[in-house]
Amino acid sequence: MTSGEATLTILEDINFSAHAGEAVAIVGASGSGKSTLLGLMAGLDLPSAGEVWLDGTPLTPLDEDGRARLRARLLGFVFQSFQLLPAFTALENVMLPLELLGAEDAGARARQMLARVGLAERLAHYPKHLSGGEQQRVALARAFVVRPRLLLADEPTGNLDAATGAAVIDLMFELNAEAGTTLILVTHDEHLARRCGRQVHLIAGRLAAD
Amino acid sequence: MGLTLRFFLRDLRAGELTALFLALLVAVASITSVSFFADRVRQALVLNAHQLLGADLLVSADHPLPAEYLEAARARGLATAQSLSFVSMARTADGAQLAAVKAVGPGYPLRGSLRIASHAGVTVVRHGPPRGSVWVDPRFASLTGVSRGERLELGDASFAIAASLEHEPDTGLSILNLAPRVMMHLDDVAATGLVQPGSRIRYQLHVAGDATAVGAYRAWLEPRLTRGQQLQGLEDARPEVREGLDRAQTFLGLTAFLAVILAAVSVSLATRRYVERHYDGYAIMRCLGAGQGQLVRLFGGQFIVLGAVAGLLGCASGYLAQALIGRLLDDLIGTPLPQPSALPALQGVITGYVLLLGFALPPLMQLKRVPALHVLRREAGRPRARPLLAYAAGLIALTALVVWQTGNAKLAAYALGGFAAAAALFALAGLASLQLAALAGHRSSFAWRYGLANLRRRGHANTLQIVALALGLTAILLLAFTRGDLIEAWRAKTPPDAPNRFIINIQPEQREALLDFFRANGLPEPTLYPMVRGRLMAINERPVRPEDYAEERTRNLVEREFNLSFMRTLPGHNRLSQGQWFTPTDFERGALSIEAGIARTLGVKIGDRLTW
Repeated sequence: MTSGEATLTILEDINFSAHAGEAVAIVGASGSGKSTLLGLMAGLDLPSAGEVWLDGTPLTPLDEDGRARLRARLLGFVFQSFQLLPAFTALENVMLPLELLGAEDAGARARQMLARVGLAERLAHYPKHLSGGEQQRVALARAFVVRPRLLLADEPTGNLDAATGAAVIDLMFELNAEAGTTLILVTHDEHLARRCGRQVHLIAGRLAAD
Repeated sequence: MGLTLRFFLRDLRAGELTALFLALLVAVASITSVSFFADRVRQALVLNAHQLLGADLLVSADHPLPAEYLEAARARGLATAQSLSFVSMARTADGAQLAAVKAVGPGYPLRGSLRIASHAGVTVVRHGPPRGSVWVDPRFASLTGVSRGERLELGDASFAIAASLEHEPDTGLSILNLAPRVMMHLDDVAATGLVQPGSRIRYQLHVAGDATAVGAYRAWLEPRLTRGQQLQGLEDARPEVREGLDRAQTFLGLTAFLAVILAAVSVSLATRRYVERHYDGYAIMRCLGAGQGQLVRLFGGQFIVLGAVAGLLGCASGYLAQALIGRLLDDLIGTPLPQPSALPALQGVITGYVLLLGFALPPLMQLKRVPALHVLRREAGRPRARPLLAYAAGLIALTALVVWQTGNAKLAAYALGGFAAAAALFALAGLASLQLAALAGHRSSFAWRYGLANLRRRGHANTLQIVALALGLTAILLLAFTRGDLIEAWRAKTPPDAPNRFIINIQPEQREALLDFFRANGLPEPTLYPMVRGRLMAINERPVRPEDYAEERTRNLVEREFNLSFMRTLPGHNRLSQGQWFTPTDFERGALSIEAGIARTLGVKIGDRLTW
């Protein structure tokens, strides 16, 4: 993966695979290329050389819409900055991926999911009226409501204090275990990384240890 | 559509669409209130004109009209009626009174109706009196002392007075009839023996029907009219009101146009804000698997719904606003206004959509460039504004809208040209200011340097904002400045002391009673002018013949009767342009003062001798 007019190598010689049901932590310092790798795995970006396969499908030959369709079918996301729509309530944020898929029972499934993450009383609240922990729980509900095969989490506790972060991580692992979802978690927190069955270390864009 | 509607309601509820919605609402309401009101006044004018004529078209002459005029009207499927008007002495048991006799045939009136008071009470009818009877003006009854049921003689024939004629539709045309009206049946005229060669009789043919057929008949008739024949249509009626309305509509149209310019500026700014606030949402949805086409439909659909809602509510607000204007101007208009047609509403909805398509769609389409990667790297794929290209569509749309709204390509060209020049000037000024500020910033404190660098970093976007706001202010200032000028120009057309009402046909014995009425009501005493009608027979002993004049206006003038007045002192509002006011000798030998415009038209100068 290179970028810019003057060639800047962000990721090089990365070769690894994650198996169904596995929990993989990608660990590295800031600027090591963790988020770029996550973006490539999700098909949000394409590598300048090499190949990414998702559930047996190569991403490179697909156009933007083709990769979006694949994401809709297979992926769930949790971001460091929550990425909730500010104009939507908690319920509507969770309904969003289902609505985009054209699901008829979006409302009922979203309510159920919000109840599962302990926010049954917060359905009509806007993100700005929720605490950081609550917002991340809404984001978890949004990620799991489509029953994804693969959950991609980018520094999910980066914006939370230690106690709240721990509670959110507990919830994420619980939901992951219930749904049997494959988890790829990007973090620089070694403690959090150790909760995953496997850790992949990145140093300056290269795979240092797996 | 369900998802679009849900997204629309969510954005609306969260206030994301408020600025856009209000901008559109104001634009549509401004356009429709002006158009609704103008539409009502125009309809009222047409209706009024119908009633003034008693027909759609009136052909009149001082000699019998050719039969082919009637046949041609009937052949076109038009309704026709005939009438005769003349002045004659009407004799009653107690004496005689000069009467303006009108003899009407079947079909009269073609438009409007008559109101009569008979033994059956006051009724509204759409026909003239039956044969053998007449209807008389209440004034005739009061002058002669006759009452219903008594008899009246016209020439050799005697008639029963069957009703009092309280209202006739085409009275506006006979406004100069000083004598009270006596209406009779056309077929009774022969029996009176009053129609003789040389009698001063007005022959009239009334025509009404489908507008296209009336237009075709008019086109056929106009070239066939000979001397002494006149044609009056709806468009000839109330020119002063029509002119006033046109001027008012130009001003109101300009106001609405400026509202549209302001709305265009607001729509573009509000959409920019909307788009900026939706970059993240768009990227998240792309990330969650939404296709580009799906999102374009979703966001575009929201704007279509927004256009419909703002359009409909704008029309409703415009309708209410025009009702309020109508109520405020009720006294001034003095006639009930009909309900407006649906056309202004259509115009309003189209205005809303043109604004949306022209000024909201281009920035909205920039969302398409936001990549899903934006969720991880915020700097990724932030669309660069391309103002000129993006707003070219808007400017074309605005041009079309303004030409349509003002109905005046020249006015539209001036207005838009002015705004385009102003926009270019503001853009240059904006860019130059940012450059200067950046230069000045090098020597200032950290906070200033940081702030100014930020301004410069988004130079194009900031310039666009400067241009938009400056244009908005220009529109407001333009309206404030031109309003005064326009109203002044309007007022200048009418002298400030111009009378509001004229009272005519005051008989000498009514003069004192009338003055008493003014005094009793605390009103300033009006100046009364004696009036007599006369025909110009000769200038310097040379007979006046219409055919001697090249100008049609002059020919019409000499064919008409003039209004003559007489007084000892020059009225205050008159100004002598040539010659001098009458001396005692002048009063003895007979002298005349003539209006300067008429003197010029007739080629009359001081010292000429006019025979009346």
